[in-house]
Amino acid sequence: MGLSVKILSLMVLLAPLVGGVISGVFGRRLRPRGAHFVTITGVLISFFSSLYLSYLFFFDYAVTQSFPLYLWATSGPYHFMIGLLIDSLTVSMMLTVTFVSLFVHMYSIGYMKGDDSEPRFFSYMSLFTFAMLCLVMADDFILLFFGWEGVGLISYLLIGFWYQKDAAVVGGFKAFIVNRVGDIGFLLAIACAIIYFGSTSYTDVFAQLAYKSSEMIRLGPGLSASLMTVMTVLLFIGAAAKSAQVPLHVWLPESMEGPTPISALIHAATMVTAGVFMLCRLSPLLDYSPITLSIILVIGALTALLMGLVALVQCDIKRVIAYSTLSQLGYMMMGVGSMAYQTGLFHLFTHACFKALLFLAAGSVIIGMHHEQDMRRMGGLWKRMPITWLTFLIGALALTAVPPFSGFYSKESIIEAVHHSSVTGASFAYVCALIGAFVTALYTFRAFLMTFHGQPRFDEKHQVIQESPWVMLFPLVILALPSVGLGLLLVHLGVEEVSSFHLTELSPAFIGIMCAFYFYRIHPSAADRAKRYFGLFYQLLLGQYGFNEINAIIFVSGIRRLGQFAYRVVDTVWIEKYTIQRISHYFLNISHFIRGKHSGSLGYYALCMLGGVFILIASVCLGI
Amino acid sequence: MQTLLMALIFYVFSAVLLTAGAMVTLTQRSVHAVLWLILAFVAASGLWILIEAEFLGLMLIVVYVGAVMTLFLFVVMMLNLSEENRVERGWRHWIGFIAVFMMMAAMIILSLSIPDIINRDLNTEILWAQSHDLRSLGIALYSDYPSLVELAAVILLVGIVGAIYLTHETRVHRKKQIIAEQHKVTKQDRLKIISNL
Amino acid sequence: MAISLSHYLILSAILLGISFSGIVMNRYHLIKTLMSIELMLLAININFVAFSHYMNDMTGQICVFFILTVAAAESAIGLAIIVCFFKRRGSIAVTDLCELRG
Repeated sequence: MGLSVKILSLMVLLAPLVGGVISGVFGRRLRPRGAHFVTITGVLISFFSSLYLSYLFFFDYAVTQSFPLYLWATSGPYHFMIGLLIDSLTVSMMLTVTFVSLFVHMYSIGYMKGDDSEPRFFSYMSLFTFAMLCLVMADDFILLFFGWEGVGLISYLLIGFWYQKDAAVVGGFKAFIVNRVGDIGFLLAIACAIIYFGSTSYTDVFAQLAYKSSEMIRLGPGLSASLMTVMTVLLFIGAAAKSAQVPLHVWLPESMEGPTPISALIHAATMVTAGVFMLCRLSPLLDYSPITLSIILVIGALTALLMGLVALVQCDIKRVIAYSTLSQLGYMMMGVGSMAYQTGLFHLFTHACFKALLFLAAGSVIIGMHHEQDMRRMGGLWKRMPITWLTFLIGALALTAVPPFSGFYSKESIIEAVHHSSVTGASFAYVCALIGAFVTALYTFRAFLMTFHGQPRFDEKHQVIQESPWVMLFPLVILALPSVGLGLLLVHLGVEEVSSFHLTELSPAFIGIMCAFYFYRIHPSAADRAKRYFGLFYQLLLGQYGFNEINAIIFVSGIRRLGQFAYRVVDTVWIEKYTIQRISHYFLNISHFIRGKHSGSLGYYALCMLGGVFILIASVCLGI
Repeated sequence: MQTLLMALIFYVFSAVLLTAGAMVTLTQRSVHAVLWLILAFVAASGLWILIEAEFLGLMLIVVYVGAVMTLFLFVVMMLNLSEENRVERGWRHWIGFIAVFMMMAAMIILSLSIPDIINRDLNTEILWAQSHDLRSLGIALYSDYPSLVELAAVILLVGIVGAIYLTHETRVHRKKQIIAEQHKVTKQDRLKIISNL
Repeated sequence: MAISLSHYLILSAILLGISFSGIVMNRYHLIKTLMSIELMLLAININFVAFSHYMNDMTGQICVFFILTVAAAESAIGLAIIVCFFKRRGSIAVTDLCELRG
């Protein structure tokens, strides 16, 4: 068998770490070229190792392996082992992560050219890859949480990479804070695991599921819920924050302030799918809680539809793709919620490829347009950037789920699974999914047509628009391959199966594409008319349903008021005035008193001395 | 009869002692205070002689009255203080006095309530006849505590030196001869050669 | 009506109280303070002598001997200090000895 699974997986895990640390520590001395070499070598090793691992798992029938690495901590009866779990799910995630990461690294050479802190950027990316691999390969909640927080941290750092830009800093903060909300849920779920299962290891938890499933948790007086429901809802809160599901999605559009390769790697392909992955990894838990499944299903459906609609009115090319990411994450959640975990994962893999492709293509457009992101100032680019055009088209077709592109198979299987699901809310989700498919096609081709076709809406004389360098186009081409063929490949390998082509599931996509052509190619004025007809709705979409405003009112101003209260009442009055100042006043008064006694009068001192002697003698004589 | 006489003597001397002690603090003039103190010492020495500490009683008169009290009197007269406007009367003045007396009285009562002290009184009569003559005091002093006698001598020496040091005035512009300086003198210090005269 | 140890003890205690009140009351005359201290030592000495007599032990008298010595040295140095103080301040009031006041 050659290299053992353990060695291989350690190579996968640690190569990016080494590369990232070297690039981060010696970045100044390495220069950009050295940083490229170090980090890409690390990721390349990681990629080939995971490729070999996936060969072992899918063709050589290697068995699931779980091996402890070291004992991280011991606390009373609990032993927290850090270990890796390698099975086919892990391996396919590893392959996806390292694959996308590798090509995004390459792409970044072109995209980040000339930036002052290139080594820092590459270091972050490699460290991100490491953290993501930790998350994926963990065999217990602790390492999972470590990876979870690691990717969150590096996401924050990379969104705020251009820290001179206020919007980037604010976006980073927003991502960080929203993710904290999810982390609370996740941490509480881990606490549940420790309390009720006595272990953080997946295998230990899963082994006890059968007889713990009926256990109840008292949430409050007269209120109790099943352990499984509580734990899975908490897990879902964590997953919803990381995977940007509806109430907690607000950070993802803001994260587009970061460099585009980051948007492709972190906010499309890997990190945001961590929630989906986590739920799939812990799917044995979900099986015991129909309530949670319903919640996941409904929230996924809402995300898929609502966020797709928002994408319709966005003009920033990256934001359109960001909202489409939200929408697709909703689809994945729907797959999870309908208990068809493999379909969610399947969509995760295909989505990782075509969404990374779309983002990178958009990045190529942005570089070509000299950092112009507004689609209203683009148009007619297809002649000038043919390869970008072609790859974007492939990505768009995959996203729209046109057969035989990869997105078709995955989305088809999700919709099919939702259709046949018996989970409560499935019919609602089914309708949402179909409308969502239409909307997806509409906004995708709207963006495509606005960017690449029609009359150029920029100053042609003053701007030289040219195709991006090959170092950026090569990853596009490579990523286009699985976007086209991954679905077919997996279906032919028998990993996934698609029963048949359903007209109900295909037609929304085609109708959407046609509508897009009608509105943006044939009758451009129709779009404006539609805008006027649905004025209120349009405003609602532009305002993104007011989530930010609601957050601002409830949470921001609420917390600000709480802070004001804490400052005005708790700090300045209770602590400052009644505690600290009072104590100091006591001391001051005592010292004033003592100072008054310290009069320098010899007679007074003698009297006090005599008083002391008196007390001494009295206590001795009275036997006190 | 003898007991009664002794008791009488004790009370007379005690009364004199306490009166003199009180007058030391109460009198206005310092010279009078010193004289009252001398009277107190004399009375105390009488009491000591009553309980067969003749040597110490005489010592008290010779050393204290003869030397220390004379010293006091000498200093008081030397300083020649004007003390007419320094007389103090007032309630604050008496509060201290009363407080001290109350505490003293309480302490005496408390001390006497310890049975040990009372019990010691029981065997006084038996020990009465024992002699406390000067000879035995001398033997005890020079055979048992010679080092303490030396130490007392050193303390007295220190007292002398300290007193002289404290009161001695060094005149700044006094003319004095410093032999070492004289020996160090060279030709250049004394002679000044003026060439172009 | 025999004179017992208690009589002497009470006498010395009263004398101590008088001399102590002399220290407490006296505010303008440092020499009187010194005299009160002498009186206190006298009270202590009476105690020693009385104990020595009633317990038939010579050690008490030897203590008195040393106390007298120390008291003589102390009063000599104390008077020297008073003289110094008077030279510097022109007064020997206790109330002027207040450099250590807080």
